[in-house]
Amino acid sequence: MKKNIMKILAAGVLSMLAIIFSITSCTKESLPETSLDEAALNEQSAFLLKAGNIDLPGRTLAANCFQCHGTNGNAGELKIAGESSSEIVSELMEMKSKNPGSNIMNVHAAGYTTEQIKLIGDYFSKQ
Amino acid sequence: MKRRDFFAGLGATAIGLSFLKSAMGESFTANAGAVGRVVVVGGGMAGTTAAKFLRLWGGIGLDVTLVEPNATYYSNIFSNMVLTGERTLSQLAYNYSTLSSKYGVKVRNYSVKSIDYIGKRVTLSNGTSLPYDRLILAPGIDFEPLPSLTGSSANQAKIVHAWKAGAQTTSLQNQIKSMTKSDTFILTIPPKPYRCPPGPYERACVVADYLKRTKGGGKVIILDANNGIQAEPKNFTNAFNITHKGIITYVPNVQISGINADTMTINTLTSGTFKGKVINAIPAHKAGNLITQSGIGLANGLAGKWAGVNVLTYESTAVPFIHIIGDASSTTQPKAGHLANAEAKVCADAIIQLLQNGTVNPSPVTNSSCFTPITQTTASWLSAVYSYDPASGTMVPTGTGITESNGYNSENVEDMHKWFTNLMADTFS
Repeated sequence: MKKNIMKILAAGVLSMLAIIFSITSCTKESLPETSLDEAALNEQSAFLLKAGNIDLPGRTLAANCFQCHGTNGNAGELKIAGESSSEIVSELMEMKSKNPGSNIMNVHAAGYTTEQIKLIGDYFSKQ
Repeated sequence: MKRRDFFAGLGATAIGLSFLKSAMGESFTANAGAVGRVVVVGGGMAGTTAAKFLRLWGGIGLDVTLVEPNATYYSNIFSNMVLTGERTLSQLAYNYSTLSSKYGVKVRNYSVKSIDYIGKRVTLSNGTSLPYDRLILAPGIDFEPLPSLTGSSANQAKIVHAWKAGAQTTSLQNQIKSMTKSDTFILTIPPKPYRCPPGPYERACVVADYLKRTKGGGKVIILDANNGIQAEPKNFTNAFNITHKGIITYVPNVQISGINADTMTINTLTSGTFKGKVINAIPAHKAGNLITQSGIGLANGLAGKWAGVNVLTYESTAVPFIHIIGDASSTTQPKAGHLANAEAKVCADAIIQLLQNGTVNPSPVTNSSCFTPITQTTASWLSAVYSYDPASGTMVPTGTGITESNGYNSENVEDMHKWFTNLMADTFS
């Protein structure tokens, strides 16, 4: 734990230097015309923080569900965010062996390995 | 010090940066790590999704600018239903305000004048020069000229493709509206690859359905340059031979030699002459002009008309630091809005990794899904999951492969509306 903190501190110092370079570099090159002010950036970062657990291993797989089930599974209809992982996994595993043309979800379930389905279940359960 | 080297160095200290930011009392995204400038050109399904997910996944360390000359995007998906009056164009209008207000994407309503791929800058039509660490191009499609189109310019203007939703959609809608039950609608389909493989067949179906419902009949002739139905062959065969029997005539392998707009006649080398009241000619496609006229070799894909890309990152195989997503790229995946959204996410994730010296996902998965109205009250669907195949370096259909629904029904119509609403929300809001 202590080691990690030291690492972070060291990295922080490096970053401080990097930021100084960054400011110099930005001044030289001049930022694109209307960069957002600090307040607007903070507001957006607050939103992005609230956007849920998005830095999970299943993110890019789960993103294939967003088109119908909403970004991070939060569609008004067809919402799956917050469903339990086991529920999602068992439903998808059942769909894998069903007649593909009878339900579009059967095609999707069949497209993923069991391991991938577990990652998808884990992702949506944590939203 | 070169900008790219600098950012690479900064990316390596991402943990430190977030530590510093929080120490300074600022809120900062938990997922932030990537730092850099990404310019996205093209605000369709691919470009808009990429801009959104770069910020959602990459955090505020990414400076993302979307360059799109039009303030409004009209969805091509569902635009066939504008032709039949089931939807209006304004119901298919989307804008970039949420992208800007919620995700902090800078939106610039200009076109691109030039790309300096060595200095890594894009110059816009207003003279602004935007530096980039990664450039994403999503210009969609443009068209080849129609073969030997003759007639007065007023009559030539009636021959539209309506394959990009907008003024031509309205023009074609009005022309179809003026038809009677003794009139013929001719639809010409270009050789593959073209945008939305089931789209032309869907159009034939909804126009046939409209003529039957509102005019008491009519004729729809499909002149297909391809050797057969390009998507959902079972469902469309049934739709043409059973559901729309007596209205739709399907002719494959057609080579058009000329179109006379004064007499509304199509001459072919293969199948005789066809005369109609309305001719809806969809010309052969190529990547958006930004690719084919870039002058920097981006159109190195199929037949020199499309952009060759590495599907792990969608980076051009011709020019480094430039990524091409959506219909303009040449991949084994269909040119379609849902798939473009999926490609954009793979590309955004890869760019975030590249900007923080991370590992690019070696096994991306995408999916294509679309619903197709066959009549006003029934729809079918088509779906596939694609997975990266390292041996061929391409995306290949996995699981049950490219799969069409077992027929068409009213339940699919309900699902179709949910799919459309949620797909557009995942892209624009």
